[in-house]
Parts: sequence; C-alpha cells; structure tokens
Amino acid sequence: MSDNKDVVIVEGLVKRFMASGSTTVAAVDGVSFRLPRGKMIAVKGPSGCGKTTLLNLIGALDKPTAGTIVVDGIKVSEISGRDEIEYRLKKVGFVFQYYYLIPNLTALENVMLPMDLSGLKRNEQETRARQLLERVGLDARHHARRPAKLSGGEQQRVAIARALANAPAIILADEPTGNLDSKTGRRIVELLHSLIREGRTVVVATHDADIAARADTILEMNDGKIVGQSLAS
Amino acid sequence: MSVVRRAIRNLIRSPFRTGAIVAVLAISIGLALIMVTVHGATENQLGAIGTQIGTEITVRPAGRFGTMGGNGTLAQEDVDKLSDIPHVVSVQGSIQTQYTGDSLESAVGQGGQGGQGGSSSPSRFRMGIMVMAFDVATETPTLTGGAEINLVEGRYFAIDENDADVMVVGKALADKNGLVIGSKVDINGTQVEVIGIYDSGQLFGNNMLVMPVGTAQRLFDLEGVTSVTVQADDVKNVNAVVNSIREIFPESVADVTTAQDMYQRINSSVANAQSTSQMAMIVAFVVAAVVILVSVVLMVRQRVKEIGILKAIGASDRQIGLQFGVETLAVSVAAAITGALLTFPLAQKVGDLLISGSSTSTGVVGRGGFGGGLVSRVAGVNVAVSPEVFLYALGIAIALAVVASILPAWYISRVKPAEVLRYE
Repeated sequence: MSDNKDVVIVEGLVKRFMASGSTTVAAVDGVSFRLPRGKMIAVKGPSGCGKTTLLNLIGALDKPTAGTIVVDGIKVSEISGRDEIEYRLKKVGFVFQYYYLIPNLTALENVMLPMDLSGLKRNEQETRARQLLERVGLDARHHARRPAKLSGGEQQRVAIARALANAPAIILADEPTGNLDSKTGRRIVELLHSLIREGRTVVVATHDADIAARADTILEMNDGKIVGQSLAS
Repeated sequence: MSVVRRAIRNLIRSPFRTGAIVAVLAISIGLALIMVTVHGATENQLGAIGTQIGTEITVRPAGRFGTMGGNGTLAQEDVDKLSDIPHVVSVQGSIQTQYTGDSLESAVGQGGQGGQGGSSSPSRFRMGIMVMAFDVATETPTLTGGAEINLVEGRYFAIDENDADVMVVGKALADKNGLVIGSKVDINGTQVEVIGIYDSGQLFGNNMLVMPVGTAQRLFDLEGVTSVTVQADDVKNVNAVVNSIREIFPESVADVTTAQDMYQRINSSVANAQSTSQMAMIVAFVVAAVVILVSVVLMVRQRVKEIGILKAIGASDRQIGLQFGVETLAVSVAAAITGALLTFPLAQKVGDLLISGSSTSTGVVGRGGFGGGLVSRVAGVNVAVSPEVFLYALGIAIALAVVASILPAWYISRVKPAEVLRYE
C-alpha cells in the first residue's frame, strides 16, 4: 500500500523485451525503490541502462513483465482501459527529450490539448493554458506560434506547460535537456526544480551529472538494475 | 480546441496530399453519382417505353406483310367496330399496295441504282412503286421500313382531303419522273395532283406514293384497309383489347400483333445501358472505397508518432479515432460535393455514350429495319440531374467515411505509445 510520504512505490519491477529469436532482454531487472512526495528525483545512468523504460512503466505507457508500481495510491501495474487513460491524463505529465509537440497546433493549443481531452470547457482551457505558458516563461507573443517557429528551449517550455495542464501529481521527464545547449538546459532544470515548490514530484531520467546534482535523490541504474541510491549533497 | 478544428488543421497542414486525395476520390464519387443518375434515367425510360410502345396493337390481313402475302383488306365495317372496344384510345387505318401502271417509273432497280438488297445485277428488274395511304388525321405517319415523312416541298393532306385526288411523293420518285408541285399523274385512270414532295432519308422510302385512305380505296378499288394500328389506354389492358379484336377479326382473317417484340428489342438496348451503368456504379463505389481506405491507412501510418504522443498525454483510442474519422469525413464530403458538381455537365454525355454503345452492340436502335422509326423515337435517354444528387453524395461520403474508419480505428487501438516513441 502507498505510504502517504512516498508518491511512487516500486517493488520487484521487471520488464523484458523480445530480442533476436526467442531470447529476451531485461531492460528493467528486479528494480525496487520508493520516491518521496514533493521532491526531484534523478534517475541516472548511461544510455540503454533502462531509464526510459522505467519512466514509461511508471507513466503507464508500457506494461511490466513482473512486479508492482503504485503511484499516488493507484496500482499502475494492474490498471488498464479507461483507468489507464485517466491515469495518463490526470496523474502524470510527460516531458520528452524531443518535446513531441503536435506540429500543426500552436503553443497555446498544444497546452490546451490535455485539458480538451479531459473535457474542460474551452474558455477555461485557454485561461489555464495562458497561465501555464506564463508560468514556464514563454512570452505571450509566442503563444500563437507553431512548434516549428519556436526554439528548442521554448518548445521544451511548452512541453512542460502541457505536462502540467491537468495538474498531475508527478512529472516524468525523460532526458529533458538532452537536445538543448547547456545554458538552455540549466534553465529547463531550474523550471522543473521550481515545480517542487508547488508540491509536485519530478522524476528526471538523465545521464547529465549537472542535472543529477540539482535532484533531491539520485537513483543510479546500470543494466536494468538500481546500483545506487543517494541523497544529493 | 475541438476535434473538428484539429481535424481541419491536419488536413490543411498537407494541402497537396489532401488535394490529391480529394481529386481522386471526387472522380470516383462523381462517376458513381453519374451512374446512379444514368441508372435512374434508364429506369424511367424503360417505364416510358412500356407506356409508349406497349399499348400499340397492329391488325393486318392474315399472312400479310407490307404489300406481300395475305388476301385483300380488312373490311371497313369491321375496322369501324374497333373504336367501340373498351380501353381503345385510337384506331388508325392505313393501306399498303403497289402501283403497277405505266404513268410512273420506279426510282429503284434496273441495276446500279442500289436496287433491292443493293444488288448491281444487270437485269431489267424494276422494283414496284409502293403506295401508302393514311387517315388524314394521322399525326406522324410512318412509312414501311420505319422512315418518316419529312416534307421538302409543298404540303401534307388537309383534314378534309380524305377522298381528294391528291398525293405526296417521295423525292427519288419525283426526280425520276420529273414531278413538281402541281404535277398531275394518271393513277388508274384518275388525274392525281402532287401536293408535296418528301425526303425520308432512304431510297426505298423515297420511292413511294402517299395518299389519303379514301383516295387509295377509290383508285385501287379496295374496300377497307390493309393495316390498322389500335392504341390501348394502358399497357395492362393490351391483352384484353387483343382478345376483343380477335372477336371481330378471327385468326383466319387477320394477324393481330402487339408491340411486345419491338418493346423487347428496345428494352434490351436501354436495359443494357442500365446494367452497364449499374456495373460501372458498383465499380466506381469500390474504387472510391479503396481510394479512401488506402488514403486513410497511409495517413494513419504516417502519423503513428502523433498517435503515440496523443496516447502518452492521455487521449483514448475513441478520441483519436474520432479525430481521424472527422478528417476522413471532411475529405469524403469535399470529394462528394466536387463529384456531385461533376455530374451536371457529364451525366447526359455518359448516358448518351452508354445508350449508343448498347445500341451498337445490339443493333436495334436506328432508322433501319422493321419498326426502326419507332425505336429511334423512344430509345434516347434524357439524363436530368436533380439537386437530389447532393443528398446521394452526402450519403456516399458518410458511408465511405464510416467504412474507411474501421481499419484505422483497429490500427489506432494497437499502437503502443512506448514503442512508437522509442522507435519512430
């Protein structure tokens, strides 16, 4: 059961993928950990160590082969159908390395999209989307621009605003600065860090030591296993 | 940001691709609508033919065909009884006989003139001159062979000339014998005045004398007529009228024929066009369905990453399917409206093409052959495109969109966001 203090509880999590022939590869191999509420946690490790798969499992984008995941009281590893969609829509917000904005929608419309999917009224969507874009620091003049007309940093700000649209308990950020220059990257990390003050839990997958240094907790992964857990200095 | 607005944005995002899909689909839907229209027109036409031709009944002396065979005429007193038969609308008698005198020389025959059967035999055979006589009240007299009388000089008979010494002659006969309007010719001892010259478009048809029934009866010493055309009021009463005619003219006296044979021949021409249009309509529908299905599958396949993103941020399969469905519907409706507009200038042309194609293959439409004139009169199809075609178009568009949305809906449900975002 969930601990009121821990927003994410993972027990014996395994995710295997079919490799060539009948062999399988464990991208996540017997992982267990607990993440406290209102903190920034960095999942650190080299490329291919299983960080993205772990985030996908927590975000219900993928199903575990074994083990359990509980997020904010919801047993994610067992939900499906409408519950799974509700969970993705309202409980978690994803931020991707390549932003993954919808190209033919404006910045404002991209942020409105999750609210539209959850059935919020249009005027409420627009008001909240503008507030969120201001919150992430996107100039109002850029609200009507399409992603192709925005810089990488601006696109990532829009992606963060979109992730916050339905006020999720947890933000999952997969290499959020991986496609940005270091200066822009630092600003994005600052932005993510500022979300903690609003009571959100932010899980960041990264192999960047500087980002990990800003986290409250660092989970170190290698070959699908947690090889270390430490509190940042 | 409604689903409709998102769908329209997506379509505008790739104007060339959307335009190409709409164009190809519009042609398919347009063709289908044209075929629906032509099919409807041919159906109406078949009904019209049934009404127009199916009510005609011809009575001739037993064994007679044209001027050949049979004995004598149908007695006038018996012919007069035909008008009293229930469901008879009109009775029109006519006479066909031969002029064998020396006052006129036939324009057909004597080798090289395209004589009977187009023979170029050097024999001195000369075809006889046919005399046809009609009741002066007959509005559109049709000559043997189906030709019509088109006056090129003079006039036709007046209503009070049923026994007057007047005649209308074919152009070939007039040229051969130097006849002009006002010429008088000795026909069996009576001077008959030429009041008109016609051109039937056929050498055989232009080698005839046409006179009022009363005149022909007097000059050729005939009692009654050689043929009677009886018109019934409805095709379903034809058999009853035939039975009544049979009481007046038993089989030994007269042959009674309905237009059923002719109807069948004309019917087969229009029916062929109808079945061709039906087949083309089905093919056009299938092509339209394939076009929209392939387009939608390609559209979904190309945008699989977008589907993955939408799923990752919490969109349900139904919401994503609805968006693609609206896009498909918008493309279908745009194509259907364009296709419907295409039917207005093209439907009649396609209808004419199908009818002429059918008539060429069956060889029944035209002026030649027995009953040809009648056939040509009714075998054309008037393809009128009504505004209802837009309703059909809308129906087709919705049906296509529904059909075309099934496969993408299944595909969308199978997209796994984690895999898509990992590999795409």
